Amino acid sequence: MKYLIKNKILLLLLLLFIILFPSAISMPQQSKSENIITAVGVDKSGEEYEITIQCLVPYAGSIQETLENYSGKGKSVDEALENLNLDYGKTSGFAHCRVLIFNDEVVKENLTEKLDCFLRRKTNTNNIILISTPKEAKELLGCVKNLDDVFYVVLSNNIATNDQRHYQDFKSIGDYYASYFGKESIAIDVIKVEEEKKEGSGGSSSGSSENSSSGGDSSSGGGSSSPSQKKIKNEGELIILKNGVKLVNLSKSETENLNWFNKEIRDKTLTIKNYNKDGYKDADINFECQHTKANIEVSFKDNTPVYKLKTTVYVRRSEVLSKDLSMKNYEAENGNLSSDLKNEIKNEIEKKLRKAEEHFKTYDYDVVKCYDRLYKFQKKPLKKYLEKKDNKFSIKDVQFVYETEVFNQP
Amino acid sequence: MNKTVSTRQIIFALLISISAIKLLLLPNLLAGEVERDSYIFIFIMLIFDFLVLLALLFLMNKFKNMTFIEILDHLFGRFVARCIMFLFFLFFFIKCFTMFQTTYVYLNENLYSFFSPFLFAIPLLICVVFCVSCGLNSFSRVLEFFVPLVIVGVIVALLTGVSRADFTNIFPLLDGGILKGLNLFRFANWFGDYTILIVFFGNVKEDKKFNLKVILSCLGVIVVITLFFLVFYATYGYNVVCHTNAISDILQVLPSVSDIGSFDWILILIWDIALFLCITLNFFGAYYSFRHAFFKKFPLAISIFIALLIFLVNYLLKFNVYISISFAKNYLCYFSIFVGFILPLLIFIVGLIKGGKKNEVPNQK
Repeated sequence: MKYLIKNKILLLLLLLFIILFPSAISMPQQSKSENIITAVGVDKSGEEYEITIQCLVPYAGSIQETLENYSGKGKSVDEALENLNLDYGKTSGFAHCRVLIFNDEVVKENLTEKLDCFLRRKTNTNNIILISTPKEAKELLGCVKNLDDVFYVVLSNNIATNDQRHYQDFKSIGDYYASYFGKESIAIDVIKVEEEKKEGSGGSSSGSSENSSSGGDSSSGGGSSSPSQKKIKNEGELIILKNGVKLVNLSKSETENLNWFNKEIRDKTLTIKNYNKDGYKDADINFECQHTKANIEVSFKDNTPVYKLKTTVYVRRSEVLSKDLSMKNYEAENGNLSSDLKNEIKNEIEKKLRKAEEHFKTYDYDVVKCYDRLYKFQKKPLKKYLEKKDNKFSIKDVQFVYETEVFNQP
Repeated sequence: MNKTVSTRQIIFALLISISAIKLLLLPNLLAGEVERDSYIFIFIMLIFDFLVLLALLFLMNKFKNMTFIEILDHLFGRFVARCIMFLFFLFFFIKCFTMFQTTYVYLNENLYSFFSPFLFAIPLLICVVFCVSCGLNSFSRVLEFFVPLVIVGVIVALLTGVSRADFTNIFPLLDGGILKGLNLFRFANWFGDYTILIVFFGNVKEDKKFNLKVILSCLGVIVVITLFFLVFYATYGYNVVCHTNAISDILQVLPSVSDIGSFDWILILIWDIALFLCITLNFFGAYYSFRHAFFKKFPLAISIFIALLIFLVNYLLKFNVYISISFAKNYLCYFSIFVGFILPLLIFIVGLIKGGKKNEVPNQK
């Protein structure tokens, strides 16, 4: 006892032990009181919202966890979550949530209202990726069951691999709010569920076989009860949200066009069709465009906002499709690009940019952060401009100027 | 008295004292006032703060071998010295209980769905009292052990932020006008951290480059804090108001689907240590000031008394950090400006006028 009193550290440890031990042993197992949510789906059917959560369920004595889907309904997202908690006797833990999926019905009204309850969670949910699906989020979440093929592995791989490459620049809740507060529109990626036909299913689909996942029912309400196989399909489509409401769908080619404005997407592809110079005959040449740089300058010219995009592209032939390819063609290429080919590439890129421009001017959405850039770098001229326009900014009034430089990728 | 604290230990103490609380809630609070320009104004505030460091270093050099209370006795007489120490006690005490609440909220928000305030407060205060009872020398060694970990944490956070930041977010510069920055005096409670040096007066090991090392290190910390504010705003832009725990939230900029997972949890744990060290340092300040303001006997009883007082104030405020923030911004700021900025500069001026020639003041011990 004397030793204990003299030894301060031992005394401290003993005190801490006495205080913490009773509360520690009386604490319930956290996995029994809280759902470890990995993905959330939000659907709207009629006046009600249906929330589907995909949770990791650990089992004692097993190394593997399983995934379960649970659903709940309510008049608001928060109420639906609360009802879901009541039904399953657990609270919702969003610390490990990676994806939030919503269907088309949800974004017919303002998405901000639906995301609000996620933003106000104690756990930070800002980096959860937003995904749109045309049918039901519940179906998308329910099309996987086994951990070997878990939803978040398949989808996360899809997102992680495709993010900032080719078509996608996945947006998080934080990005959504940044664009919403910044008076911009935002492009959200679309992922679909497709019924897999048994006949001819092997290899016939367009490059998404790695995304296929064994479908199946979810006893707790997630997805279809059909034994048929379903697969997640990512076709590089987008939806545009303006003021939180869905404005328009973008097809794969429209997405591709728009992405030439996106400097975050550094890897792109390009095709020059029916090329008849440099020894080629009716050749379709595919290019890998890597380390694409896009410098953006904004200014005012004669009281008209000007958006100048200077694109620098490093390209490499990835495939040449021509019936008359000969050894001479390979020798002539020799890792070089002729000035004719460079011009073709330049024209093709600018054509894509014009198409994208035409699209966002037609639908009047600003995903290229034009207003934001004008506010940041041309605040005073913008103020004057807006005074004349009754404080209404429209992308339709912006003059777009393109400059493209093409280099051979070393 | 044995001179037991090395230059490195003092630098570490200052580093923790300056940065622990500023890199947590302050970026969010400042963004609420001055938005994207918070890094400009924090830099100005830190430079003002730095003047206090210079003043205290001057006193430290001029009155070598003297403790702070001895300097005050020498300059102002016994009664005024005690009054000044009482003001410092209040200053450190306020810092302690606001930090205490901030730490509770930080843990409660990030690691637990619900964390009993009693279960948090009692073990933490026991640890703080234990550290104080072991003395400044032992605690300085604890600092040497943990502060490198905190430095690594800050560097990782900063680099992660830089990798995902969009620096166009900081434009247009001075959007709300420079006068808007005047409002920041209301955040004085989050500054004045160099005053912790008073605890170390007369207790520093001889080092010829002491001043240079301390000044350069503190300037380095000022640059890092300013950069952190800059990167934090560049990373989150308009969303910065949604991020109350800057140091760990900056790591959440990594996409949720990245393989790293909840990377921020590592930093949450590191920063809990930093906050504990910061609370203990300010507790040392309160304990030191209380003893010299009132009586020196029963040191353990004094530290227990201060701990109970911190607990009681927090209990009355229901561990609600937002009540404290509002109170600190609206009322305590005037007191903090006086004790954290004006008082050290006044002591410096009196020391300059009255103190006699440098190094000529006799050792009064």
